[in-house]
Amino acid sequence: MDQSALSGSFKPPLDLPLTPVAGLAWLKGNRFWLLFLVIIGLLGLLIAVQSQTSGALHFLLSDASPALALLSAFIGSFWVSLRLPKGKNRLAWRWISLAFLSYFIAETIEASIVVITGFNPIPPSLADLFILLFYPCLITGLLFLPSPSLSRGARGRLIVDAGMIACAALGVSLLTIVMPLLDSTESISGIEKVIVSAYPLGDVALAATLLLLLIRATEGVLRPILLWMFIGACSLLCADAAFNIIALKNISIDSSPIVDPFTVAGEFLMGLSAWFYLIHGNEPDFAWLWLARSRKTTVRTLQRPWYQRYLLPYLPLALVVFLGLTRDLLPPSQYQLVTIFQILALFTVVMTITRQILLNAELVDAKIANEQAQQLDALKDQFITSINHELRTPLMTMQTYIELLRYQQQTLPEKTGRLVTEIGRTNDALVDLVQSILEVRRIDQKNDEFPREVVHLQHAWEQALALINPREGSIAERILRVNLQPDLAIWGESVRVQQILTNLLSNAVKYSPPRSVIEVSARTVQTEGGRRSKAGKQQMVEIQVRDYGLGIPPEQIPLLFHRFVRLPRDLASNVVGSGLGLYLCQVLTEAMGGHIWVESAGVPGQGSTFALRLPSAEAVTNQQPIGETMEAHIGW
Amino acid sequence: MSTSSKPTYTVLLVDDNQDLLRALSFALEELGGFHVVCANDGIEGLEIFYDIHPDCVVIDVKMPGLTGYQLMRAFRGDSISMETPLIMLTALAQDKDQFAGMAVGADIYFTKPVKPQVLAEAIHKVIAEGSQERMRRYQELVDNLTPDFSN
Repeated sequence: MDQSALSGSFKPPLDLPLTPVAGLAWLKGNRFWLLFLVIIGLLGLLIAVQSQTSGALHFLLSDASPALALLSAFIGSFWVSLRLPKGKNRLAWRWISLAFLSYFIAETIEASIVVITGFNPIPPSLADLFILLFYPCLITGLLFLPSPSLSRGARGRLIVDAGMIACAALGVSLLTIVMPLLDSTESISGIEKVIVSAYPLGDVALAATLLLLLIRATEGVLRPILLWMFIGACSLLCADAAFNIIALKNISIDSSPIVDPFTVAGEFLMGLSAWFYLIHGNEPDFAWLWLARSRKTTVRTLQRPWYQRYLLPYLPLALVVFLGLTRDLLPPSQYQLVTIFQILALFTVVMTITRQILLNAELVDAKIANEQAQQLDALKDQFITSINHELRTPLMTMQTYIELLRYQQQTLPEKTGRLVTEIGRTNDALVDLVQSILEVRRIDQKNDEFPREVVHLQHAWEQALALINPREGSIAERILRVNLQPDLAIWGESVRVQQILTNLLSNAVKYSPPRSVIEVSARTVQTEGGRRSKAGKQQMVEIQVRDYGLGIPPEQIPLLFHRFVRLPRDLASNVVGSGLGLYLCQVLTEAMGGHIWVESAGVPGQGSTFALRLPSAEAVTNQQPIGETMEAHIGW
Repeated sequence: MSTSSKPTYTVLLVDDNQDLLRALSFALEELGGFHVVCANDGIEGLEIFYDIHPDCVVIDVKMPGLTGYQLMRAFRGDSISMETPLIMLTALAQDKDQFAGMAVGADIYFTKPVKPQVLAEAIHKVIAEGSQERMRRYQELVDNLTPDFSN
């Protein structure tokens, strides 16, 4: 067998980090795939040993192993697409898997040609057609991958950087795309011309796609990855361009000094970026994962110190690349030593990949779990709304009968009359609860701010007073002392302000004995470090509602503002409540840019003071013209 | 028919919930002194309306067949029923639902549950209100909904 027809030396497994990683990385790390990786590792060992003795077997194996790797990448990425929910992301992975499939077919054909003829096929061959299919599929897949947008300044810098590299590569390649087509020497046939010029064209398209993604990509981890992949694609472009020039000039490919460095650099960069993506690609999700409080292992791994996260994973790769690049410089007598290192490096690569597969599989699982959780959450919201609506009609029927009974209360025996009062009270609480649940859900759902307007406190207070349920331990039995500074105005939403006041007052009435005093006061205060004012001072309206009832034990104060929480003392008493009133007060106050708190010594008779601060309308209207505020609010 | 000095107004209730119809007709007769007629769905509501020409119609939104909104549009689109006061009664409690209710021409929009006294008072109020007053209120509603671009 003609030894010179084969690539005489064992090439470093640069394809290995590139191809199986991209697909396999997403898989669940079950034993089957672990075994598969070990087989690839053993294959590498075999290749290394064989390379010292038989060139033919070595070549077969070194061509068969990329084919196997690509097959695994295909199965892997296809499996990923099966696991993903329907959408763009799944479509992207379908296309990527198709790309790997066509590359796999190409490699298989090439390996078969070697087995049958014993010669390394020189392009163009049938294999080239399939390799060329790889480009459009991969590009389509890449374009479908979801990517968040980049800030304007960063995008500008990127365009300049990437544009310069792209121009250089394009300049070299454009010539070679056209050149074979214009070539008048009949050294190659027409179809071959097309295939030969299609390679740089594919490279250009790939580079352009990566450039596009680079421009669209967010700041952070994805950027360097895409930049490297882009430079890699440009390098491959140069290699293919150089190959075309050499082939056309009928120079022997084996002795080409230009093609190899470009090919190696291109593959290396692509491989490195795939590797980088594998290790760091999912890190932006870290914060989310932490919130989800799941997958402790993943979080722990991501929390490792920088040298463990950045240095160690790259060591094996660096070793393999270094050995591969320097081996040709060594005399043949040293090959044995290098092979041992290569085997070691290969196994480290396999182990690192396996670790990453396990890690990424967890991330994918967690992502899917999160999507499912969100769907369930939406379903739950829908359920709450519809059940809430369904409850309202029977509730109204019941209320109607109770009101009729109440209407005729004088004609009823006293005992029955008391029972009717109790039923009415409970029914009112039920109505409140049904309304509060929907209100809470609406606030939870709607994160945007309320429309702001000038709310005159005096007016809001009068409305709130009118809305107090007269049955909640009649307000007429309390001594109400109101001391509102005149002309106080709040920057908020009137309905919400009134709702807060109603809730606080109704609480004060509920939790204080008859004939006790309830004090309501409001004044303007200056607070430090307001968001609205750059001078650091902010004008706020402070409202206090004080009762002389039971008071709240200090240790129970933190519980007050939680939803559906009722204090132990209330549960024991016959005071009716849903545990949503103060939660609503807090949410509404904070949404309007204020805060609410409670002061109480927990001593019966001294009662408690509920206080809240809301932004004053004066401060707002003085600082900026109304028109501007309106605009800011509407979001023009 | 009426023994009191006040005229007896006829109110048509359209709701698919039998229990509520029974309770409300009883309560409105008792508390508001109305003559109450009930319909179980929109079609029946339309038929009864043209039979008895009630002074006010109380309509539920969610009904099988003809919905409350559709029924309301039918009333508003006919010159005979155009000026009859219409009260919307619904379990839907979103702001946008209220808007939809007002937009099709409801005089008052109530979210369930509403107390019978409140409903009776509201019926008295809309009946007492003349058609001119009603038109003025529509105009006001339209003006409030149209953004002011003059500035």
